[in-house]
Amino acid sequence: MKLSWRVILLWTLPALVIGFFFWQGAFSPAAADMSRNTASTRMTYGRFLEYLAADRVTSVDLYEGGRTAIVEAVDPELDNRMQRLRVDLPGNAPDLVARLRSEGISFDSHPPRNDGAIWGLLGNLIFPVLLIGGLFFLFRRSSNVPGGPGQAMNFGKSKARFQMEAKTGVMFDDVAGIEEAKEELQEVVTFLKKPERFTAVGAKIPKGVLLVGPPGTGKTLLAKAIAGEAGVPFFSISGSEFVEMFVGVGASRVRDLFKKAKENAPCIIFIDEIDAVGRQRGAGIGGGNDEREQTLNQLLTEMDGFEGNTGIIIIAATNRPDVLDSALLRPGRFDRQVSVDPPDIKGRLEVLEVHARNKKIAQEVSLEAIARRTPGFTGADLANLLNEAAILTARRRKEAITMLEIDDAVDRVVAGMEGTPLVDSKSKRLIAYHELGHAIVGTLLKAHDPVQKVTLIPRGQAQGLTWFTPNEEQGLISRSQLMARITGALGGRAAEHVIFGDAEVTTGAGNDLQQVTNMARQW
Amino acid sequence: MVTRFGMSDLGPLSLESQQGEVFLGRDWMSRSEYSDEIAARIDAQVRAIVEHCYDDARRIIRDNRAVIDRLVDLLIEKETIDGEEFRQIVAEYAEVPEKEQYVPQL
Repeated sequence: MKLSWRVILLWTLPALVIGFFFWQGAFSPAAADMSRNTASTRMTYGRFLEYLAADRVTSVDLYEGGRTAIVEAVDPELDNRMQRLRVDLPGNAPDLVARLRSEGISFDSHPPRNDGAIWGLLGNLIFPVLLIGGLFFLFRRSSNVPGGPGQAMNFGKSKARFQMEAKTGVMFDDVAGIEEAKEELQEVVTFLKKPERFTAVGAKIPKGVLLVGPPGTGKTLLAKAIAGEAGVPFFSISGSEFVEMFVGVGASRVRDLFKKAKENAPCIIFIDEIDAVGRQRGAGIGGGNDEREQTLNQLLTEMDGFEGNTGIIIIAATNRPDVLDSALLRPGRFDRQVSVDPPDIKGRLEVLEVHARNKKIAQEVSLEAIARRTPGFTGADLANLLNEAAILTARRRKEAITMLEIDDAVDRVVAGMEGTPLVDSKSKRLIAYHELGHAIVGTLLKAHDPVQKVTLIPRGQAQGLTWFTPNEEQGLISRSQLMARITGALGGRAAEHVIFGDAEVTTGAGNDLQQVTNMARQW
Repeated sequence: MVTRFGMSDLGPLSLESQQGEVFLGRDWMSRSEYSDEIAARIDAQVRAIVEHCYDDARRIIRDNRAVIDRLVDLLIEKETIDGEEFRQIVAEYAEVPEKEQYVPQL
């Protein structure tokens, strides 16, 4: 909206300039025609008197209060043709009129045309006035728009979005599968709504909550839910928005943010991806980044420094708590670290129920079965899974999502897009042996995860795939399990070796071997 | 297995910490806290583990050659074999061990 205004203005200015020149060009001759105050040749006053004496003058038109006159005279030498001549009259020649009357020459007096002059003046003024006014308008508007030329004054201002009563459209009901984290944050909301329950027993409100967890587990969603539920002013900003082109801007923005927050206390500040500014100081090549450290220092003092802050709760989200500065994590700054983990089967079922609310799903689809099939999936993965299934359903022109679409969507989310099946050839046989090598070794080893599916349909980078049902408990892995996994991963190459011989092993096992080495060495 | 979890005859030692320099990306520099002699033994252990597993895998493949040949024909024809069907076919030729799969209760 604002932008289009500026664009319109920018295009109007040249249009006005062009219009102005046309106007000047078109109007000046027209004005002259109307007044007829022109004559091609001039004549001296003496000559005029001579003409008068010779009775060659037919009419006289007096202009400008009698100072000039257009004289029409006939010239006998030129075949009595009518001539229009311009004469400058001396200022005071009152007897001229008397003489003209006595000679019987028709004469007329025209009043000076002042309006023409006024129009000329206005015409000359209108263009600069418009130009200056337009520029003024432009600057005033652009100073409100971020990124405009007036922004230089606003560099130190924080860019946090401020909402008095945040309408994020997300409530705690929409957050599922991360019960522990949800409870912690609900407590914060309770503290804001009913502080007396806590202050009665001497409890202090936590100053900061750090949400930690792998990508896609719903940290930002939790923050949105808090904003929707808390009913207090809510500031949200991303960690990367602090630091910009100029030195000192980051710290200045932190100050500005906290100043605004103090004015609106009690309130909540949410800093997304805080690792962008909260990184360990003095790390990296050459001793770190001064500007970022300055921003962090300012953040540290604002959170818990000499000048206390009351009633401001800071919620931050990151998926790399290990790189954060230890001073940021101490109690008094971020009192609480809430870890947001990938959901377990119960959590996944709840997440699926939330996402299935607005989707048409066939009766026979069991969300529990999907939850069972997807260990290790995060909330974002599950949302993507159901969305892919819905897209597939639309593509197949079906009424509702069936188990078929969901199966395809799981495969697609895990392994990538389905490719075209290979034609029957030597390489297809080789891939079949390779995959069956994985599958059979995996099946016959007791400690290995069971085979879920063997397929020759290429997906993503892989030519064929063997899927194993992952275990729900992924925490601790025993030595026999690791050995079984290494053996299973080597099954492909072993099959090629045994069946086709030493000379026929292929590059297909490259990825397997990389995994095997890594597992054996580190993992 | 060898450097971080002590699952070899080098003993229960953590020889590489996962945490590297924060700024350089964690995997880029895994600091080594051992001598060259230990490094050579690590390499030997890794090799031993992988070779043992490879021998195992080849033995399994050789012992089950018949079922693999049958399954390959089936796989090329059908493109995809389901886990249950796969286990049934394998069970006709060899004993499939019972897997302990933790089934979570809702």
